[in-house]
Amino acid sequence: MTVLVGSFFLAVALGIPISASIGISAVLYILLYAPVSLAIIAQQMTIGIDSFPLLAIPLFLLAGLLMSESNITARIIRFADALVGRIVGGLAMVMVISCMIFGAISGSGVADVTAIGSLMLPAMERQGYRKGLSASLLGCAGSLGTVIPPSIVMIILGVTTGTSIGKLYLGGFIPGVFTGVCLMALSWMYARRMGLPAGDAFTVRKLLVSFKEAFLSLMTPVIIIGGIITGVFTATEAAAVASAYALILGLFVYRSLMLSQLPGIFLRVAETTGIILFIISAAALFGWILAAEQIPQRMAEFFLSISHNYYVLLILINVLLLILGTFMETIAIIIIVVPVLMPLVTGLGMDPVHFGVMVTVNMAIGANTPPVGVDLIAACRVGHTTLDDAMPYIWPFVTAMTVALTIITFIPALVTFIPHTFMR
Amino acid sequence: MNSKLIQNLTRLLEQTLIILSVLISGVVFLQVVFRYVLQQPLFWSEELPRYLLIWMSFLAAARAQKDEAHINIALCLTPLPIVAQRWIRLFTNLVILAFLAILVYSGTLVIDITAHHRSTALQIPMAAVYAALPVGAILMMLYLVLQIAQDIKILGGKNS
Repeated sequence: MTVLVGSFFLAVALGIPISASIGISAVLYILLYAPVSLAIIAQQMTIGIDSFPLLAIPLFLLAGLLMSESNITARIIRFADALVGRIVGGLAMVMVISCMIFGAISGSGVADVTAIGSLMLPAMERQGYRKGLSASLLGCAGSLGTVIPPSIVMIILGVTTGTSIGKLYLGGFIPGVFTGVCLMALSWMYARRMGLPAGDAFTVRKLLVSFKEAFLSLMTPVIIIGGIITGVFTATEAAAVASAYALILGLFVYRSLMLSQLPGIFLRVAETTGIILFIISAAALFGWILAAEQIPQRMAEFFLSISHNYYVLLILINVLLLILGTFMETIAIIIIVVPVLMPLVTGLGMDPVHFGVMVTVNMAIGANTPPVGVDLIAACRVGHTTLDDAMPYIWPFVTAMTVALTIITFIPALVTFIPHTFMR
Repeated sequence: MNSKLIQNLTRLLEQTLIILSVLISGVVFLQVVFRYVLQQPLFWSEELPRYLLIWMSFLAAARAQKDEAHINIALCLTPLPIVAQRWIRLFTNLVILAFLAILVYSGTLVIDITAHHRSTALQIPMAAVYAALPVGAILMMLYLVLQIAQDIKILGGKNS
C-alpha cells in the first residue's frame, strides 16, 4: 500500500504526467506483490475505457468546440448583459451568468473559462477591474461548467460509481446556479467597495432583441436536459444530438463556422479525449488493485473509527477532498478516491446522486485552489496575469464556493429535488 | 524529430484520429436516428463506437505524447536549477519508457489469450480491440525516444 501511494506521489512530484504516474505505481505494485499474469495490466487498462457512457466525453467536447468556434459566446454575453448589466459591478455579473449559460452547453471548466474569458476579461479591464480580481472570479465561475449539466466530471463519476449520469446532470442544476449566485453576491460587494461602474439602463426591448439573437444557442441545453428528463436520450445520445445541432447551427444558420475548420476541431476532440481517457485507463488498473486489496472496506473502517455521526463524516470527507483537490487532478481523484468513499456514504444512508453532486462542487473548488487549480491557471492565462496577482482575490471567492458547498452538503433536497421529481 | 518518415507517420496518425473522431460521432448520432426516428435500432451501433473509442484514445495518447500535452505538475521542479531539471527529466522519461514497454509486452499477452474470442454483436476478434493499447504504446515510445534523444543532445552540449 505504501509502495502504491508513495510511488504515485513521487512520480507526480518528479513531473511525470498524471496518467503515467498512476500507471507506473500500479505496475510497480503488481511486479512486486501480485502473483498474477502481466496480461492483467493491458486487460484492465482496455476494459477500463470500454464503456458506452464514456463516449459522451468526445461528443460533449465536440459540441462545446463547435459552439465556441461558431462565436456563439458573443451572443450569450450580449443576452447576459441585457439581463444583469444594469447592476453595480454589472460586467462581473455578466461574466458569471455567461459562464453558467456556456456551462450548460460545454462540459468542462477550462473550456468555459477560455470561451467566456477571452471576450469578457478585456472588457472588464477597460472598466477598471483589477486583473487578479476578474481572473479569480472567472476561474470560479468557469468551474461551474462541470457542476451545471452537461459535465465531463459527472460522466466519469457516473461510470466509475455506477450512478445514473442523467440524475447527476439534473441534480447539478440547482447547486450550480446556487453557487453562481453566491459568486455574484460576493462580486457585487467587491464592486460596491471598489466603485466599479454599472452598465447601461435595463430595457425590455434590449432583452428581447438579445434573447432572440441568442435563442437558438440557448436551445442546446434545452435539448440536452429535455431529452434526458423525458427519457428520450441517454447522456451519450444527448451529446451526439447536441453536436449535430451545433454543427447545423454553425454551418448553416449562423454561417460562422467554415468547413475547413472541421478537421482541426475533430483532431482537438480526439487529442483531448485521449489525454482524459489515458488517465481513466491507468486509473482503472489502479482501481483494480485497490479493490483487490479491499481498500474501500479498510477506508470505511477508518472513517467509522473516527465517528459514526453522519454530519461529522460528511465534513471529514469534504475536507479530505478539498485537501486532495489542491494538489491532485480532478479526474484522478474521481476515479481513484470516490469509488472508495461511495460504499461508506451509501452505507450511512446518503443518496448516491447527492454524494456525486457534492463531490463535483467540491472538485470545482479544487480546480481553483493553487498549486494545482486548472481553472484558475487557465483564467490567469486568458487574462494575461499571474497566480500571484490572483492570490489576494481567489480566497474570498473560494470561501464563497465553500459556503455553497456546505449548504449543498447539508440540504440534500437542493440536489435531489429535480432528479427525484422528473426521473424515477 | 524532423525526419521525413516521422513527419509522414505523424500525418497518418492525425488523419486516422480525425477519421475515428468523425466515425464515433457519426455512429452514435445514427443510433439515435435509427432508434427514435426510424424505430429500428441498429444491433452494432453500441459496440462499434465503444471499440473505436478505445483505438482513438490510445492513438490520441500518442499524439499527445508528441505534443507533450499529457497533464503533469511541473511545480515541484521549478525551484531547481535548469540543468538539474534536465537530468530529472531524462530519468523520468526513461522510467516512462520502461512503463510503456511493459504495456506493450502485457498487450501482446492479452492478444494471445483473446486470439479466438469474438465480440458479441459484430463478431470482431477481441484481439483487434486489445491491440489498440500496445500499438498506441509503441507510438508513444517512438515519440518519447525522439524526445529523449533531443534532451541527451542538449545535456551533452551543456557538459562539453
